Parts: sequence; structure tokens; C-alpha cells
Amino acid sequence: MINSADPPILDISILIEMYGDSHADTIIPALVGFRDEATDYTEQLQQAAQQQDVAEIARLSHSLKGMCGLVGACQFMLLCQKIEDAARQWNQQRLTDYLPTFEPAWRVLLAELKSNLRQLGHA
Amino acid sequence: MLIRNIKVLVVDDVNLMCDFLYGVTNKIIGCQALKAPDGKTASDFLQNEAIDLLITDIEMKAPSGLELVQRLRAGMFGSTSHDIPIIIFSGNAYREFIEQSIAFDVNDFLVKPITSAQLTKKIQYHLQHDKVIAPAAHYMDLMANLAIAPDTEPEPDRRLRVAIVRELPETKAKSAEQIEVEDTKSAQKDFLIWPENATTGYFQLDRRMRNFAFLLSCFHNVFVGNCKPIAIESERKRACEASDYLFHIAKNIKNKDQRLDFWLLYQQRLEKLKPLALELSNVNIKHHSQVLLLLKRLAYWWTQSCSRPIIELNENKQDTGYD
Repeated sequence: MINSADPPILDISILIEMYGDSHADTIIPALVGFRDEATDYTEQLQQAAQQQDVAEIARLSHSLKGMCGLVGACQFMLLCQKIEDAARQWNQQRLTDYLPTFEPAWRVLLAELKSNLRQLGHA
Repeated sequence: MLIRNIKVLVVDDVNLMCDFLYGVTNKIIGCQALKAPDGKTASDFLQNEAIDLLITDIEMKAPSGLELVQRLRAGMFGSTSHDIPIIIFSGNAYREFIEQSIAFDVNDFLVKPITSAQLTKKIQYHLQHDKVIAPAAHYMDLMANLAIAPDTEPEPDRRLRVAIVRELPETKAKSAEQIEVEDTKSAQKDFLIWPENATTGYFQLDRRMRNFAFLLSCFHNVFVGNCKPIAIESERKRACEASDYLFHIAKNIKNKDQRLDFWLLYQQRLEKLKPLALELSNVNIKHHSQVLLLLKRLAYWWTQSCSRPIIELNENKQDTGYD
């Protein structure tokens, strides 16, 4: 459940600050690029989770965290950070807590991305 | 015409991040970004292109960013100088990474995320401010030590402590000679001067010329300051290395460039420098008058070389200083 203290799912103002450009020509490719590449990474991470490959979980969540930070996907970034920390500490308990929330959180972010892209005129 | 590109190599295995770095860097006036999605591609670039600045992630599949940094500082890439500015751009600031980065004299360590404005400032800063980098052999030894360490000291924590202790005396306990040399350096730095805003039109060549001037001035200062022979020898060695680098870089750039008029003139200057550099490496420092005469000839060479049309004053200096 998301409460009011949670950071935004997707904060476009962060993306604008990061890229130093508020034009749709910059924002749309960044969001689309993020969506496509992050989709690939999330699939790999879920696979790694099934195989209990903790090193790979750490690597993938680390990369996802960086991508999220760049486009302002704040909530998902925090989750990736938690998963990365747990994986690096080989903390099985915390991994077991966080990993089931990964896929639903990604779906929420995907929906938000879709909505934002539609608002920006991206088909 | 002073239009030259400063080649900045950006390395990140996340395409989005790599494109971001590439886009930001390419917007900086005078910079031409090259992007590598992995350490292998980055190695190829460093081997085949004269890269002027490296921005790299750390955590990548082998070779990792740290391995790239180590190899670069150890002078293992043919076309790229070992002492170019290096900016680490990482999502994590782990102590181990930072310590290794410091050991290999990385110029900056940036933690993601960073805005385009901040990154631009950092790049511009490091293109305009040289950091003193040790000779490649120093980093080669460091690499060898790192490779040996795990076998000799198997406990990770202990190894870390030993590494720190090993580093501290080198930086803290300066010898009397070093202090003497540094005092002299600070007192006199102007035997040879690279004019402000001057450029040959080539970023790397400017760096080499500036470095040569600085190190030859250091040699001059310790020599005329009657410092101990060990200090004079040390500065002589560094000045000789600087001239070797100047020849090396000039050859690299010349082979890939079409400014024939410039290279014809510059090559003539280098031909005149060759015997002087050879004499510098062989002269007996006890023969005071010989060394002074050689320094005079080097100063004359410098005056002749630092003039139009070989160098121009960059009046349109903006951002990186290269338009």
C-alpha cells in the first residue's frame, strides 16, 4: 500500500533536472529508453531470484537503481536499493521480504510511465 | 583554426546511463564523446584512440571500471596517455572502491544520480585542472601488489588494514629532499612558461607542452637552488619523461591528423628538441656550466616553439577553452 509519506512513483521534474532539458524530445526518449531497458533488467532479476543467484540480484538491482534515479522513478529506486543492500549482505530474510513486492511495484511504475508518455503525446 | 576535439570516453553497461553521459558530454563545447557499453569496448577505444578524459562506471562485467582505471594508469593502452583525467561515476560509494580509486589517482568520484549541470561542471573542471600523476611504472607496481596481496594475506579485513598502512608513509613522511624540492618549486616556477590561454589546437599536446615546461622548470629550480643530487636527478628524470611523452603524443596525433602546415612546423621544432632531450638525459649534473648552457638552449627552444603560428592565443575561450 502507498501512503502519503511515500516518494512519488515517477517524478518527471527529477528527470528534467537530470537532463537539464524539459523538451518532450528529451523526456520521451529517456522514458521510453528507461521502460525498454528496465523491462529487460526486471525480467533478468526475476529470473535471478528464481535461481537464487544473489550476486546477480545485487548487480541487476544496482543497475536498475541507477536507471530509476536518472528518470525520477523514486519508489522503485528505493525498493531496488533495499534489494541490492540485502543481496550484498546475503540477507536471505530481507530478500524474502522484498522480492515478492518487486513485480507489483514494477507494474505500478509501468502504468505510471504509460500515463506520462500518453500525456506527453507519445503513442 | 583552433577547432580540435577533446575526446571523452564514457563507459557504462546501462545503455540509458551511457546515453545520458554521452549526451551531456557532447553538449560541452570542444568535446567529442565516445561511448562504450562495456569494459572490453572501452579497452579497444583506449588502445586505438587518444582519449583525453575517461568517465567510467565501476561495476561492470570484466573488465570492470576499476580494472580499466588500473590498466590505464599503468600505461597499458597504446594510444591513450596514462595520466589523463579519470572520473568514476558509480551508484555506490563503497570504501573499497574509493580506496582503490585514490590509490590509482582517480581525479573524481561521482555518485549517481548526478545532474547534467553538475556533470558538465565536473568535466570542465578536470579538463582545465591538471592533477599530478605518478609515472606509469608506479601504478604497474601497485597493480602487481594488488595481484599478490590475496595470496599472502588471506583475511580480507586484515588485508585492507595492511594496504592503508602501506600507503600512509609514502604520503605523510616526506623526505627532506622532497620538502626541499617542493619549497624550491613553490619559490620559483617560471623558468619556462606556457602562456595563459595558449593552444596548439590540440588538447593533449597543450597538456604535454605545459607539463614539459613545468617539469623542466622544476629541474632548473632544484639545479640552480643547489639542492641535493638525489633531488636534481629525480627532477631530471621527470623532465626527461615529460619530453618523451611530448614526442609520443605528438606522433600519435600527427598520424591521425590532416593539419599539414602545423605538423611541418611542429615536427621541425621536435627535431630540434631531440638532441637537447638526449643531452638532458645524459649530462653530468656535476658539470654546472654544461647544465646551465643546456638549460639556456632549452629555454631558447621553448621561446622559439611557443610562438605563432605553432601556438595561438585562444581568444574565444569558453567552457573547456577549446572551441
